[in-house]
Amino acid sequence: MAKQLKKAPPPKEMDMLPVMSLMTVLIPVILTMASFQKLAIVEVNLPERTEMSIESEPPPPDDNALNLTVAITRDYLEIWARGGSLPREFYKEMWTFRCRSDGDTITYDPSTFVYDDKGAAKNPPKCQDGRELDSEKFRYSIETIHLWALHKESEEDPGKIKMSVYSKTDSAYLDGNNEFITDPALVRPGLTVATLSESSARRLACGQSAPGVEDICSDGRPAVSLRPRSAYDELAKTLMMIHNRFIDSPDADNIIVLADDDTAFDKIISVMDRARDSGFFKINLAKLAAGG
Amino acid sequence: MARKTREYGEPIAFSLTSMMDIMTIILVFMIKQVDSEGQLITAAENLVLPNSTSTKTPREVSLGLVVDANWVLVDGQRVVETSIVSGQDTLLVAALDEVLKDKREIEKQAKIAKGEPDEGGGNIIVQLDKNMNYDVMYKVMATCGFSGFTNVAFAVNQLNPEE
Repeated sequence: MAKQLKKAPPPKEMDMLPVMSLMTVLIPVILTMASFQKLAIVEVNLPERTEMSIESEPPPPDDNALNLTVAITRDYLEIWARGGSLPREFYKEMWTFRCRSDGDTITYDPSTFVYDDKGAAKNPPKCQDGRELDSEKFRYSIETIHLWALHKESEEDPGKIKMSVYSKTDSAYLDGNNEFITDPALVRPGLTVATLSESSARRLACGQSAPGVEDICSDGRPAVSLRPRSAYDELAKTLMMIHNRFIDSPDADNIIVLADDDTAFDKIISVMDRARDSGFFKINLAKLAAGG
Repeated sequence: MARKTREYGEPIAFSLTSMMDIMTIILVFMIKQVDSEGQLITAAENLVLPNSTSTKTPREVSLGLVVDANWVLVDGQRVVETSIVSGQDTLLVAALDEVLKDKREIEKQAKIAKGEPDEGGGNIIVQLDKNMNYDVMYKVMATCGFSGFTNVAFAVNQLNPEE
């Protein structure tokens, strides 16, 4: 009699339920630990002089010292070095708000706001869906403070907004002469440009990305934009030039940032960023005496 | 001929394999999001920190000072109203100085107890709203220096941390 083969039982499916339970517990635990906002710090040196004024004792002069200072006032940025100053960089301040109601952004000229005695705006910013921001606390909805660089012939001249070509990643392009590119038609594949960072020269290309090559195209067409030039970009360009020229100076890494009392903290941090990115790592803060 | 009715056999077990795949992907994504080093500073409520290109992160736990639109807080405790700081003419914020000096003393005592030298002044991380005016910032910073916290750093949002 032929030996009857025992039929193997069908394989048992693995019980996934405990693993699923573990996953369900793990995910909320990790969610609570996750940080979606990454914080960093900006270090400063404490003020050496409490206030820059005519009455305060000036430091002993050093002929080789750069004594680089950037002043932020209501209308312009100014750079002083070696006892002299560079032409003022006038700007127009613009505030971009993010509306919670529709998620869109709106940009306003802050000088258009009219305030009552309590400091509340009579004409608060209006979102695209028609809703108004809080008349008292709308300043705390500012997402970005833009400083648009102005070309002025004189102090009285209202000025003309300078324009620049910006990349997809929001970097201003500089040509071979280290000047801002102002015509988008010039920015074409094959052109060599630089941005406002060290060793940033790159060749522009379309649909091709590699070290030293930047893909400027989107859907097969150059996707650069002509926008108002940031006064911070003008500042960064000048600071980089100064740093490269006075690299042997004993205080080549030092910079003092001066500001008016009502200067927003955001502007201070932006100027400090540009200073640090240009090679000035030791940043001191000081107050601009009333009246400049 | 009568229509043959469908016979239901044993209930088919609910397949969890696809669900497991989804969960595994989510889990891997979440683990990637979690900073393995952890964060030594936590963003305060009621304020928006400015964005910065700085990538420097604090190395050790520091005292936290927060200045929002209404209050100046040290370690979460309200110390003085921001409007009072803004309105005063002097650089030293007396109420804040008092609290900071106490904190600095505690810090010194803790270091002595551990047998560590107390060199270089105390560390403090200041969180200010991006729209806070420079006058308030300067007074707070100067008060930190007066009370012994000479290593002052400002907390900022890291701009494009992935880049």
